[in-house]
Amino acid sequence: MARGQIAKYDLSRAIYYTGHETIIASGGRPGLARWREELFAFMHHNAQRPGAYFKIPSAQIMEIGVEFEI
Amino acid sequence: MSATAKSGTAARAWTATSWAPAALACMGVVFGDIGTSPLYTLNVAAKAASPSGQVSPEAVLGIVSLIFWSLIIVVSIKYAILIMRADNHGEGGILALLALVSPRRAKQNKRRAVMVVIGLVGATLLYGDGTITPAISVLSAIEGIKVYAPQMDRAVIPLTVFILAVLFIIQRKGTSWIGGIFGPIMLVWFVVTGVLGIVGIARTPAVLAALSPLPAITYLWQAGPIAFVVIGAAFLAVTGGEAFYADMGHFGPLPIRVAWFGVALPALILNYFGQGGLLLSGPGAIDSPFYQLAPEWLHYPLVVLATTATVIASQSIISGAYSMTQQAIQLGFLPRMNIVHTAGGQIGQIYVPFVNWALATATLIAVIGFGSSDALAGAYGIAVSLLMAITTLMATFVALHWKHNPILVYGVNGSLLALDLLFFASTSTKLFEGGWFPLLIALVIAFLMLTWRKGEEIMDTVRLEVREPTEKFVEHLNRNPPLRVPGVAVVLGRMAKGVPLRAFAEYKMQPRPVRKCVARRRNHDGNTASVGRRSSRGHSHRQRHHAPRVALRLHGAAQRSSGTRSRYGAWTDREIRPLTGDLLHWS
Repeated sequence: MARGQIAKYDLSRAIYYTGHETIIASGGRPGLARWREELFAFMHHNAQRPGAYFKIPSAQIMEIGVEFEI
Repeated sequence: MSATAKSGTAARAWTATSWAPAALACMGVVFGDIGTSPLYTLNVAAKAASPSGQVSPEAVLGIVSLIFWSLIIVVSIKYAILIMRADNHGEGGILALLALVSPRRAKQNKRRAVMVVIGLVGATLLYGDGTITPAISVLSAIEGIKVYAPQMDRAVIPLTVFILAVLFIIQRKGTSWIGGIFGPIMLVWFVVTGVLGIVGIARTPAVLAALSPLPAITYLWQAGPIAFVVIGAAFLAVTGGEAFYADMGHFGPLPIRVAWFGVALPALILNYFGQGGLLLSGPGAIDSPFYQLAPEWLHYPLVVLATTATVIASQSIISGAYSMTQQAIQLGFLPRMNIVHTAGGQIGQIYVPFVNWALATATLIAVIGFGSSDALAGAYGIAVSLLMAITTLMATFVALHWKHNPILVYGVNGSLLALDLLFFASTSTKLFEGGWFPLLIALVIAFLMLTWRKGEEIMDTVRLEVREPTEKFVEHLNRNPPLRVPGVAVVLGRMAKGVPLRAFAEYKMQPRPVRKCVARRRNHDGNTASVGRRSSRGHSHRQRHHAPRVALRLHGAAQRSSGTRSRYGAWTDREIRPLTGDLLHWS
């Protein structure tokens, strides 16, 4: 891509894809005890969403939700 | 901490005209804690030495000598000269040491894993300490009003709570508007304490005998078990020394060293000797030797100055807690939290609401629960002494890693560690008198951090399972050319290899972006250039649907010199511009 090519796109209208992960503690993976998995899921749930953390304007965020069982 | 911000962006090449303002500024940030220690150290130590209430001249000389040599060995030699050499691309602090000992991408082995746990506990001790320092400092300054007006006793705690509450409440506005005067106020503070010290020494020059280490050694030798308690109390004089290293990234080592050896150290020494002289001439001053050094007409102005200095000290502790939290988030030890940038793009000007309120709660509990600076002294010291021992331990590994002469390293660091452990053992005698408080806070936070890190490790393997290798992704695109629409899409990912979420490629979502700039946020110890090409395939293969891949490192811990604005950690509209510049450059 040549230099400047991207400039013709209006970056104020770029779409930012971020992941929205939901963690379900199931005790299914080694490494953390069940209750620590619950704690981790709780911390994860309360973490700031990436879009907000990077201060991306809400209108430009596309969140892709995924559920992970650990 | 605005002074921080301004000098933090300054170039590292110091000239005589550039380090002087930086040295002044760093006084307001780095030396607040250690500079206000004379308010409480000597009377706590003297009381510890005299259970009967009468402090002997030998004890006074021994304590002053102990404080003097602690300042020389622990703060000047260990921190100001040695530890500050172990920087991680200009950054200091225990997390920087941790990153040096255990780089994120290095192979993890048992020893590294143990070091991470030790380093994390060390880092969280700063939080524990951060709850005590504002409490004990402001409390001890306010207690000055009791000296000539004992009936004011009941006003001390409400006044302290009020001042600290206001301090925590105004944090969200940022401190850049006032930060510029912190340095000059601390300079005034050091000059005043130094002059008061000279007055005390002039009254009883015999105190100068404490310049020799002998009074300390003979006194401690004869004191028996009480020596431990006295050493633990004298340790209060060096608390705050750890800030030299933690704040090094903001100022660079030179201004800190200049301000320490040129102003702060002489002033502190003069003041401790002055207080010692006062105690030698009349043991009646044991309740507040600091304030009784001053003539009565100067008393209330001095209380105001001391309170201001302790508020400045508290401010830098609070700011330090914010930046350590930010660092911990970036290193993957804590979940993302709301970080407010209070002064546009200036580094260091951040406000973390959650940390602020947690710290405020713990600090006010400490003030009300312990109730006096004497009682808080029991809780103070243990966290810092353990932190200092951990710092020495980790610096040893770094020094060995850097291939310094092992004999020298073991000799020097070994003796320093022995001293650290002596201080830790001494402060541990106060475990049940309150020492448990900061330790408990540190352990809880360390546990949360380890849970988070382990959980993220598990999550990384889980995420890997749903990733698609880049080649397959491109092949897939070539096989099924997507419908292309104009526009730019940015996908935030956390790994350098592969395409996140296979689903993204397969379930008809991928046709959206035309040119997909895969800008990757990579958190961990960003030591190389901030933007780098991740793939050369774009040139060599000319795939029609190849997405140029650009790796953008956003705010790694060691990003200070990267030259991009990304280290501020925010993609605001203003900040996306420089990023686009990088995109243009690399794609």
